[in-house]
Amino acid sequence: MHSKQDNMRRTSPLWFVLFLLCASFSQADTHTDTTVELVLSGEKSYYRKAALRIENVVNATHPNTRFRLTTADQTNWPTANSNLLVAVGSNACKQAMQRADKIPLLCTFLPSSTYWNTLEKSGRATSAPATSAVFFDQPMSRYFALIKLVAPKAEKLGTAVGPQSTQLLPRIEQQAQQYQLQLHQTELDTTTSHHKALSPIVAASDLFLVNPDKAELNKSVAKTLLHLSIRQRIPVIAYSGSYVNAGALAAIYSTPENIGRDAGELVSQWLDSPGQPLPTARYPNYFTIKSNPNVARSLGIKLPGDRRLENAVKQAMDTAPNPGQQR
Amino acid sequence: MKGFVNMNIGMRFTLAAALPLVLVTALLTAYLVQARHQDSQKQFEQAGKISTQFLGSSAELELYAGNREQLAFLANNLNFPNLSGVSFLSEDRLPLATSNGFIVPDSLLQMRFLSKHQDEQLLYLQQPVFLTELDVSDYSEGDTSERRVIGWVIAGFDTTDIHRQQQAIVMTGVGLGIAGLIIAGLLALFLGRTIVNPVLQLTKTVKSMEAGNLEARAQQTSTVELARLAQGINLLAKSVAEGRSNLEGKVRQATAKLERALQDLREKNSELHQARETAEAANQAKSDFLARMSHELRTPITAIQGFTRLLHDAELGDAERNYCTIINQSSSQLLNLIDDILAYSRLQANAITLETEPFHLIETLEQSVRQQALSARDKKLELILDISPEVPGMVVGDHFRVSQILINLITNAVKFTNTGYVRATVSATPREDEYSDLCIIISDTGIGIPEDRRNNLFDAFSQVDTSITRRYGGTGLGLSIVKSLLELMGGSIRLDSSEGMGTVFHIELTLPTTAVEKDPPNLDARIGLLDKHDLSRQAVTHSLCRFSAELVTVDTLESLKGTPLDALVVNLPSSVDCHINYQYLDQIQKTCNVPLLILSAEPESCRRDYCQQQFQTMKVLDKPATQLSLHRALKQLLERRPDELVVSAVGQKLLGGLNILIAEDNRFTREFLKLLLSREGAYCVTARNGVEAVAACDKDKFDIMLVDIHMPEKSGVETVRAIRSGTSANSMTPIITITADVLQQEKLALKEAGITELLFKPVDEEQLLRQILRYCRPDIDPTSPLPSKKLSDEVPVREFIEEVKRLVSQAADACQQDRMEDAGDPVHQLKGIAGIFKLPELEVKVAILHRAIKNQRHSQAMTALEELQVECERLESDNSED
Repeated sequence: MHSKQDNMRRTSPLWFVLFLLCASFSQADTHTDTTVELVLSGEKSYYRKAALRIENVVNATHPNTRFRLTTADQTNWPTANSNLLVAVGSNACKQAMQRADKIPLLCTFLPSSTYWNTLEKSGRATSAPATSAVFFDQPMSRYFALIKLVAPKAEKLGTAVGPQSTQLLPRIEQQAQQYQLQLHQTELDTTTSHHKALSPIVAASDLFLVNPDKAELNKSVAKTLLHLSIRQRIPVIAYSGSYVNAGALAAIYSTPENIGRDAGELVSQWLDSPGQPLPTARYPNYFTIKSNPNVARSLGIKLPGDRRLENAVKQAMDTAPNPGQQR
Repeated sequence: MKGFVNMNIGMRFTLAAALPLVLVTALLTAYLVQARHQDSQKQFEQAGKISTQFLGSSAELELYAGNREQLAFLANNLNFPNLSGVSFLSEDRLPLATSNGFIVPDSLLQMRFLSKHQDEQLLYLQQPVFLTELDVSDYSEGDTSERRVIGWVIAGFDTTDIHRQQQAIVMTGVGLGIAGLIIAGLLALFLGRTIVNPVLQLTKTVKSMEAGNLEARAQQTSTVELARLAQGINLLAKSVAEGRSNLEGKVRQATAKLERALQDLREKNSELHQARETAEAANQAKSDFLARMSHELRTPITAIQGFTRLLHDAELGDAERNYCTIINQSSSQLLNLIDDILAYSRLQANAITLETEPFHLIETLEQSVRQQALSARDKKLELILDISPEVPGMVVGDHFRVSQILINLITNAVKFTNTGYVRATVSATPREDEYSDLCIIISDTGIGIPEDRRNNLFDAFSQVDTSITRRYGGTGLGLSIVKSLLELMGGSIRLDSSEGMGTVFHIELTLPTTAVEKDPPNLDARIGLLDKHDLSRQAVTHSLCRFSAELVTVDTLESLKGTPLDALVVNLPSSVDCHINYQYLDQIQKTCNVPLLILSAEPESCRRDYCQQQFQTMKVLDKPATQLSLHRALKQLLERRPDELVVSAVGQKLLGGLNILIAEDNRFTREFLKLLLSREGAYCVTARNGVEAVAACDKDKFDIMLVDIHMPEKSGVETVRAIRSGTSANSMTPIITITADVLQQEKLALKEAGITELLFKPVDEEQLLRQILRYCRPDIDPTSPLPSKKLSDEVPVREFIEEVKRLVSQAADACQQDRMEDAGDPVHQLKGIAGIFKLPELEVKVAILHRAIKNQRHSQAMTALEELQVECERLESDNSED
C-alpha cells in the first residue's frame, strides 16, 4: 500500500506532462502526421529537463510535431506511427537500439563511449543514417582550451585514467602535445591505493585534469585528489559542476538544457527534410563552464567569470573541428 | 491506622492534604533530578561522540594514508572540552598514534563493536572512521557504494566535570525538593486550618453546650454549608435552653414537694432507727448474756466429762462403769445443747468470722462422721461415709464450721433413725478456676418429716412437733445453725423427705482448692472386699480405690471361692449380733486363708473374742474407717508385722488411730516418746536421724511428726525443709520440733522451713499431748483434762540413770581431751532428758554444764561434770536403796 502511494506520487508529474503532450499532439494531429517519440531512461529530473528542452526547441520551428513521451521500462513503445525515436539517456538508447531498428533513432544525454559500445553491441550499422547521437561528454580540446585560459603558465599536466577512460589517453597526449604541456599520468582502478598513486602525480604537476570513469572510481578518487590538490595547491580541472562544488577549480560540461537544445536543433533539422539521414553523432555544441571562486582565490588564480570563460573557450574552439565524429 | 483513626479532624485533614502534596513533590523532585542527571550524562556523551566523530573526520585522510606523524600531531594537539586523550587505530585495529599519557583500556582495544566504556575518571568513546566519497557526477544514477572503514578513533573524556555537575544537580534537586516539601507542608497546614478551623469552632460550641452552657453560639463562617450548620446548632441551642428553662421551673416545684416528703421520711426514719437500735441493743444484750452463760456452763461440764472419762479408766465395777457412761452421755448432750445455743447466739450477733485456711477436707469429713460412730453403734445403724474419688484432699475454708455442719446433720440423722442406715455421700465437681463445687448428701432411713413442717424446719427453735422434742430432745437450733453457717459460706441446703421413709439433706458448697494432697502410696496387692450392704460396699470401695490397684468386691462369701487375694477386707454388718459375726468370720477363715481386715462397729469385748480365738492374721478397725487407717492397716497386714497386730482401740484412747513419726537421735528420749504416744493409742514409727525420717515419709502417711532439732546426718531444720519441699504425702503434715536449746536464728530458720510447733525439752507430757490433739483431734475440747498418770512413773529409773551416766561419760571424755565441741552433743541430749523425772538437782547441774560447754569454759565444764558424776552416783545409790 505504501509503495503504491509512493509510485503514484512519483509518477503523477510525469503523467501530467504526458497529458500536456498528448493534448498538444492531438491539436497538432490536425495539421501533420509527424510523430516524435521521446523515450527517457528513467524518471530523473535531468532526463525530463532535456526532453522538455528538445520539445521546446522543436516546437519553436515545427509546432505541429507530435511528441509522445515514455520511459524505457514501459512496453508500449515504439508505436507504429512514430517517425523518429529520441532516446534520452544511456538506458533508453540501449533499449531503443534493441526494439526499434526500423525507426530513425537519435540517442542523447549519454557518454560517447557508451554510445559507441551500445551501437556496436546492437548490431546496428554504425554508418546507418537512421542512427545518431548527441553526447554529454566534452571534446578533449575544450578541456585544454579551458586549461590554457585558467592556467596559461602551466607546464606540467597531471592526469589519471581508469578502466573506461583509458581510451581517452591518446587524445589527452595529443592535446598536451598540442598545448605543449608535459603530461604526468597514472592508471587507477578500485583496488589500488589512490593516495599512493595520485600523490606523486599531483606533486609533480602544475595542474590536474580529471577524466570521468566508472561512477565508483570517480567517487573514491575525487576526495583523495581534491585533498591532495588543496595540500599541494594544484588546481583541478574537472568534468562536472559537482566536482567544482567539491573543490575543483573549474569544470566544463553540458547541462541537460545544453544537450536538449542541441538535440532539439538536430531534430528540427531532420524534420525540415524528413527523408534525409540523421547527422552523425557528435559532442554537444552547447556547454557550460563553472568555476569555484574560493578555490581560485586560495590558489591565487584570477578568473574572469564563467560566462566570459565560456565565450573564450567557444572562440578557441570555433576553429577546431568537432571531434565527436571520431570514435 | 489506629493512630489515624484517633486523630482529630484538623490533623486528619492536614495529613490528607499534605500527603499527596508531599508525595507529588518528592516524586517530581526525584524525577527531575534523575532526568537532569541522565540528560547531563547524555549531553556529555553526545558531545564526546560529536568530538570523536569530528576527530575521525579530521583524521580520515591520515588514517587512509597511514600517516602516523600527522596522526600523532593531531593526537597531541587537540583542544576539545574534557578531552583527555585520543588514540587512532588502523583498519585492522593496530594503534597508529596515541596522545601522550593516554592509555586505552584493553577491553576497548579488543572489542571493535564496543562504542563506549567508562571507568572512574574517563569516558572512552570509540568510533569507526569511514572513507567518505564525494559524488562528483552531475547525473549519478544513485548511491550504491558501501562505506569502507579505514580506521578507528578512541577518545577519552575526563568525567570529573560531569560528575561535579551531576552532584550539583543532585544538591540543587534535593534543595528544591526540601523547599517544595516545606511549601507543600505549609500549604497543607494553611488549607487544613482554613477548612478545619470553622469545624473545630462548631465542635467547641457543641462541647460548650454539652457542658451546660446553652448560651454558647456558633460563629458564622464564609462556607455556606458550615454557616447553615452553625445556624442550625444555634437554633437548636436556643430551643434547648428554652426547654430547659421550662423544665427547671417544673423540677423546682417537684423538688420542693419532694423535700417536704423527704423531711417527713427523715423524721420517720429517725424514729425507726432509734427503735431498731433499741431492739438491736436488747438483742445484743440477749446474745451476750447467752454467750456468757453458755461459756460459764460449758467449763464445768467439760470438767465433768474429763473426770468421768478418768473415772471410767479406773478400776471400777460394771455398775459404776455404767453410771460413768450415763454421766458422760448426759453431759455430752448438755454440752451439745450449750454449743448450739452458743453458736446460734454468735450467729445472731454476727460474731462469727470464718477462717480461710487450708484444711484436709476428707479427714474433716471422716472425723465428723466418726464422732457419731458410737451413737450409731448403740442403735445398730449402719453409718456410711461415701467419699467420691474426685473429692479434693485439701481445700481452703473454715474446717471447724464445715465439721460443725456435718456433725449437726449426722447427729440429727442418727437421732431420728431407729433402723437402717445413715449415709453421708460427698461428691465434687472440679472447676477451671481452682474452685470445687461440693455436694454433700446426708440421707437416713429415719422417721422422715411431714410435708407441712418442712418449710419452717430451718427456723430457729423449730422442730417437727413438740412430741419430737419430748422424745428425741434437742433445742431445734441445729438446722438453723447449719443453714446460717452455709449461707455465711455461700452455700445452700435443701431437704427431701417422706414421712416414715427417711430424710435427705442436700448441701451445695463451693470451696477453693489448694495444693493437691496426694493419695497414700499405692499398695501393690490384690485386695478383696466382702460387704453385704450395697451402700456400705460402695463407700468402702471408693476409699480402697484411692490406693489399691486391684480390688475385688463381692457381697457373698461364695463369690470369693477360688479368688486369689493378698488380703481381705470384711465389713461386718452393724445390725448383727456379735456371735453371728463370729460364726461368719469362722466361715471366712475356712474359705479364705488370707490376712483379714475387719471393719466393725462392735464393742471392744467382741473384738477381743475374735483375737482370742486366734483367727489368722487379722486387724480390726472401727466403722466407718478412715482412708488413712484402711491404708495403714492393710499395709501392716501385707507386711505381716506380727508385733503390731494388736487389736486397735480406735475411738477409746486419746490418740487412737493416729500414725506418728518420731525422729530423735537419743535412744532414751526416742523410746520415752514412743511409749508415751503408744500408751495413748498412737501407732509410732521411729527414726534415728533426719535421713531416716525423710525416708519414712516416702513410705508412709503420718498424722503428725515429732522431729528433734539436733540430729546427726541431717539436722531438724534440714529434715523439715526436705519434707516440706518433697513430693511425699506428708508435705502438709503437722511437724512439732523438740529441742533442749535453740538459737534465735535457728528459731527463724525453723519457722521458714515450715514447722508447726516448737516444744522444749524436757518434754512436758501434757503439753505434748495437747499439741498433738490440737492438730489431730480438733474435735476434743482443748481445755478438757488429760489422763493424770505420768509416763515417767512407768519408765524404770535405772535405765534413766544409766543413760545419764553414759552421756556424762561421753561429755567428760571429750572435755578431758580438750574437744569441747564434741561434748556439745551429749550435753544437749542430757539436757533433753534431765527433766523427765523432775530431779531438780540433776537439772540444775546439767544446766550449769550446758552453759559451760556453750560458753567454752573448760574448767567450769570439768567441775560441772564432776558434780554430775557425783549426783549420778547418789541417784544410783538412792534407787538401789528403794
